[in-house]
Amino acid sequence: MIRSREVVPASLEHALIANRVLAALASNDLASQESQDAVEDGLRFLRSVLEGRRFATSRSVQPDSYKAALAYGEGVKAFELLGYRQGQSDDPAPYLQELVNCAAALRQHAGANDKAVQDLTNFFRTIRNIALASTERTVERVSW
Amino acid sequence: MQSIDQKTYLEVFEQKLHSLRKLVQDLRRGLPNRTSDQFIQGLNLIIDAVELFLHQRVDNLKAALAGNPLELAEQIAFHSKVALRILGALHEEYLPLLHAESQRNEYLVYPSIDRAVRLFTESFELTLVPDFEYNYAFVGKENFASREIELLEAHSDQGTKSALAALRGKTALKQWITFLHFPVADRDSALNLCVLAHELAHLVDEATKIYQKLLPIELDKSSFDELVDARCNTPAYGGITASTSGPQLTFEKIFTKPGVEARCYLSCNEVLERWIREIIADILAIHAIGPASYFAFNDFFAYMGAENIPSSSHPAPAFRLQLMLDELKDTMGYMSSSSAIDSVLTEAMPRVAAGANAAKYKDEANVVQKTIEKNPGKNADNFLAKIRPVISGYSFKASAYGQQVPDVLRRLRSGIAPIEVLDSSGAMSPASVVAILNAGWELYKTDIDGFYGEFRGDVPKMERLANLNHLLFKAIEASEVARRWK
Repeated sequence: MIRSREVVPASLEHALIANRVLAALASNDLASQESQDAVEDGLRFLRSVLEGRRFATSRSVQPDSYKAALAYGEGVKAFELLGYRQGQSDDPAPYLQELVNCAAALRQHAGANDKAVQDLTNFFRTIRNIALASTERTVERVSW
Repeated sequence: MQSIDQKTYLEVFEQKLHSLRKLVQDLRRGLPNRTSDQFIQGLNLIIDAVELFLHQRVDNLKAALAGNPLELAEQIAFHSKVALRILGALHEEYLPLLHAESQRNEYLVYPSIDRAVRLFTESFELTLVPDFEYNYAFVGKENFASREIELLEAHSDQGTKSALAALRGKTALKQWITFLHFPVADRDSALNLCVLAHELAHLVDEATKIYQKLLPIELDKSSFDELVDARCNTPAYGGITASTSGPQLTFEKIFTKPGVEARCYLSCNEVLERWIREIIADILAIHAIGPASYFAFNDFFAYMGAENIPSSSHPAPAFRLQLMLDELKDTMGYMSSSSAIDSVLTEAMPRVAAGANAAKYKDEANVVQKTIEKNPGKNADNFLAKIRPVISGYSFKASAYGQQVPDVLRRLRSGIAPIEVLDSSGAMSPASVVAILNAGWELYKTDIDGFYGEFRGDVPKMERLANLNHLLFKAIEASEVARRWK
């Protein structure tokens, strides 16, 4: 048996990325190096979410597919929780692609409309909460 | 708004930091000299890094968010939670390893294990951990501490990043920090401890990246689609309905089909990786120590009362035993004679094959089993063909068995610890550890009554078996000493 003991699980890493993106978006200084690095990491995370989707739909297991699938799982969960599918398709791909476009525009100092930035903020806030919650420990265990 | 104030978070962090450092210090004092030195250094490095990370981040946040107290509180809470999660993981997952090590006894098999690992990697620290959970397990960390600190660096501001990099550069640890868990109940059984060869094989897999060489693998389509459909139509927990008179809500209605598919893919991916890694370890172990590995697992499954069903971490027991027997027969040349050992193995074949055929698979296990059996271009033969080269130089084939085991077995049968045997030049040389283990198993499986007959009538049967294990331990330890001194 292999026991996995992660000091910093992937979900905690995702929470750290999401938090940095949120801090950058709230900073009113997207041009600073710290903000640019944060948006770059956020963009990489979003691309990994889309890559996870490609792995899942093709059912292909590859060296990095578990990590990407984990990111995709969190991305889909955010999509479901934020209610974007109401009246629209169940497919999260267009929504995720919009987020990628917005992050890429911010990374290249091109403007992004307010709604797109708000969507990006909501997404990363939800990811931060989901990812942090998944590393929580049980407060108490009772057995009889 | 944060329900817990920043002062509380930061004070709780200081307390936990202090108690963790003290615990590591106290546990270290209870350990035999030089045990897990590298691991302890790594633990201390991570603890220092987490402290540095939180303190510097908080200082920077206080400066950057001075005009925004709400955001400052949220950020301090977030960073404290991250730091506390990391300390919590160390407390929960790693300190028990140090605690268990303080209970260890003298390990007669350690030098042989150390020699075996050195065939594949030199940069490692290995610790045997007795466990009250009746299980064998492998825990391995590559680049322990530096990987964790690098991760904190990646999410730090420039100043914190430099300070963490400097801390990381202070100590160079060995590439692999590994632990082999074994059940305390097996500590006096050289025969049962043969399962450790499989656990060691997990390290060989990690160090030589065998699993990666088997990828990509495509999950079986029809069983995967069946799984997704079944999950989509699974009724929501508690019999929730869309409205009082509406239809039963299903997972698909609550989540989305892509959401269900993502969850199925993630779990199948995880099960597939675990199963393949187990198969790799089984194949490496059967080559490394021959039939002894099969017999040890056969008894282990019996002790566990293992039902012939797969779990999320392991293929079905009979499937694994069949894989081992097939490898012994088809690749290693066993079961081609009327020798005692070949007879025992041949006799087991139909029973094990029937068990493997009768194993039931459902859900993720069904997808993974079908994937392993059917995936085009990745069928069992191709799959195993990529594993074998790693171990081919050390494979204990039937010819080696025939040359080495009979002499060792003769001594064992007479109650002599088979430390040295006559080699082909007529000189005495240390018996191979693999031959000692296989001789032990052959005696146990084919003529244990003859061995028991050597004892006085009032010696209980299990004491007689304990004597066989003592002889094996003695032979393993002393042959290793003789090998090092020659």
